[in-house]
Amino acid sequence: MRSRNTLRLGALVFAGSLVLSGCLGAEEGGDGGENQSVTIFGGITGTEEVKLVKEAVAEMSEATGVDVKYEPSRDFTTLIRSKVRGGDAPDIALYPQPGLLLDMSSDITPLDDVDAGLDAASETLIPGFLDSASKDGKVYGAPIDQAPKSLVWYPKQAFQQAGYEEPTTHQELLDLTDQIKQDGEAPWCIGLESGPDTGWPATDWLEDYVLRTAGPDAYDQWVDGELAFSSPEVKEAAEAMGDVMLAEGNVQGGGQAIVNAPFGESSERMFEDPPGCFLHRQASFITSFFPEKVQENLDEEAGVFVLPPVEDGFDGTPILGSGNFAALLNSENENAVKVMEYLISDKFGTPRYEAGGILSPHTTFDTSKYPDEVTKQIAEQVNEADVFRFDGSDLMPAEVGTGSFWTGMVDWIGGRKDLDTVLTEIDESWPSS
Amino acid sequence: MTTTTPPLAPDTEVSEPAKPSGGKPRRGIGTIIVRVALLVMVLVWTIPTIGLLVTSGREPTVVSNSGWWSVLSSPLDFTQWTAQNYDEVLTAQGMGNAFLNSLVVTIPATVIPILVAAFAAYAFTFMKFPGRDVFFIVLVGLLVIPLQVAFIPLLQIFGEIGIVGTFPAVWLAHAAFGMPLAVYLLRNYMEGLPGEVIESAKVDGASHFVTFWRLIIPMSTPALAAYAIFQFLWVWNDLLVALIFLGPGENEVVTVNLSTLVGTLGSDWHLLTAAAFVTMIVPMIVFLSLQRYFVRGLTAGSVKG
Repeated sequence: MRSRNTLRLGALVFAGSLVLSGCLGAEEGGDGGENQSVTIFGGITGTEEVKLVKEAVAEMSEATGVDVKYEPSRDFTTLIRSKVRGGDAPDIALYPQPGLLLDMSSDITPLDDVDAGLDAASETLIPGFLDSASKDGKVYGAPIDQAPKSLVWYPKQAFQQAGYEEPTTHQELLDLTDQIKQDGEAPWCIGLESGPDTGWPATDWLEDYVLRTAGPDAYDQWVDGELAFSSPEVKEAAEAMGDVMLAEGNVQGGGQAIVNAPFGESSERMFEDPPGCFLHRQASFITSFFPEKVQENLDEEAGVFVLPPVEDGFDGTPILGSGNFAALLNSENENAVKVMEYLISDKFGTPRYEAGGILSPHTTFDTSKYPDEVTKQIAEQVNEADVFRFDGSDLMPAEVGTGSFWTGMVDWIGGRKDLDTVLTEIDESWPSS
Repeated sequence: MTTTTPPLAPDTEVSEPAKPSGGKPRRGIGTIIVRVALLVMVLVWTIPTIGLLVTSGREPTVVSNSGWWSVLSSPLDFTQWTAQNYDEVLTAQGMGNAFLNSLVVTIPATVIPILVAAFAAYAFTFMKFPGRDVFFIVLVGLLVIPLQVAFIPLLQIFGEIGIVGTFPAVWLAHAAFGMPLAVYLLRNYMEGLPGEVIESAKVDGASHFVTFWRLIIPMSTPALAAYAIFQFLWVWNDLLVALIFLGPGENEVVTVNLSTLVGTLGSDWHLLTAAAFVTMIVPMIVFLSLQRYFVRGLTAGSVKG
């Protein structure tokens, strides 16, 4: 008897779930036509971050009158491909890497072909951004946020008490490093560990130095694969970076410790008492990893300057940055085009910028809306920068940009391989064609 | 990962008393070795879980500065414990909906393969038709095919029918890939059922249908329950299939929702420790309530195969 009851219960639950799913399915297919909703799929995750994106999206829904949903996933990079292939593509996708976006350009409607306000956006955007998402003269995506990367952070209180000053040239940076060492402290905190993505902070360092020693033109060639990693230009940049990172005593524990330190937590040591280090080069979003008491009082506790230019290198201050790019996957949904227009304009994202850490990619954004002086200062420096370039590893083919470039940097800095070997190996891993 | 631990415990429990009874009654050095080995096994298997549990109750800043074992020196110092991680996980956006979705996915994905596999196992055991053994071997051979290699073709097929992103896609994927093991397990079990019962039913004029529902299903409960536990745990804990065929959004399941708690740059990873225990609750209930079938079902099926 008992088992029959169990069976009945099972059948009941089964039937129940069928009905339930039927309802859910109907709900989904129900809308269409005029009131078609729009789904945005992106890689921005985390409780806080998603909350802010959803607030920004809600603002957008109100302004455009379209029902918009944001769906986040940590596995955006793999999922977006399988979704498109399985016929379940979102209307709009937010690509963290323009390289992937251009790879999938055959599935994306170029912004030139629809009425999504590309011209207006290109006037207000920081010059250089749209180039990273363009191919064969067509623009496939536009940035919705940015995080400048060429920044060096320091613990303001301790830094000023010790009488240090912000360097304005590479030589001054090295002098400052030596001075801190002579005072018996460790100058730099650097961490490369980031789970499966371990190594990316080092690629940003190298990109920053290629921009500074060889200049933006060489940088573009390098990113396109025309300038080899083993070329003298890139090697020189790597050596300049090595002067900072790998010189004896510059980082506590040396290269081995750099490789093993989690990139986020390595920044916290600046704010210990006494400071575990005085300098940390990392993007604007690192503030969210600072200890809470520092975050609450960012202007008093933290200082920041742009990684200084190298003498005899490029004449000017380049800024390296990253950001999410919106791309239109379903242009048949008219509402998606409407949403896209708002998304890439300077109107989108205010709740996110007000929380700090990331910045608007538009020069016209009202900087007074940023939460603190530090962020305002960063925004000004980006707007004044002579050259803006997008994070190169995000533009290179995936085999290199999210593969051998990461592991190569880890091997070199960790002391397992010498620089020449690493650079040659990265060149060899560059896909032919 | 943690769910692989429970199946071990009952299994070892069974084999342990069986050994002395089989050999000489002397409880010598052998028993001690077995006991010690068991103890070591249990420790090795549970320590990571304990570490996870301890970590889930600590402040994120403390977690990054010291190992979980450091609490062992002062476990009663309550100031170091916090429920903040659990609070954040349970109140995460869409969590209630995701829990419901997980049930909607898991229950049919467990019931469908059991039902179909029971039919198939019956046919393979009690019905005679040409090519029966060949079919059976081919079906069992499918056990070696990993689900991962079938993702792209499946996606294309599902895309064609237009069910990607809906529940039937996951039901089908899980049911199909759970089927070979289910058929194998159930057939081996049914083979061991007393043939006289089935024969006398036949003599009494029972059709296959009646024999199946009235005799075979009630008699196979242990095997059915054992497989149900297995399948339930797999489907409930699955992230990959749910991520690819359902994805994030309205239909997301618990595992998918939890994975988005971690920030874009890997911040807030400490929430995953609490999340692991939150997802564990349902499988724990299922396992504990069905575990007496589990041991019986597994041993019965395996010995008589």
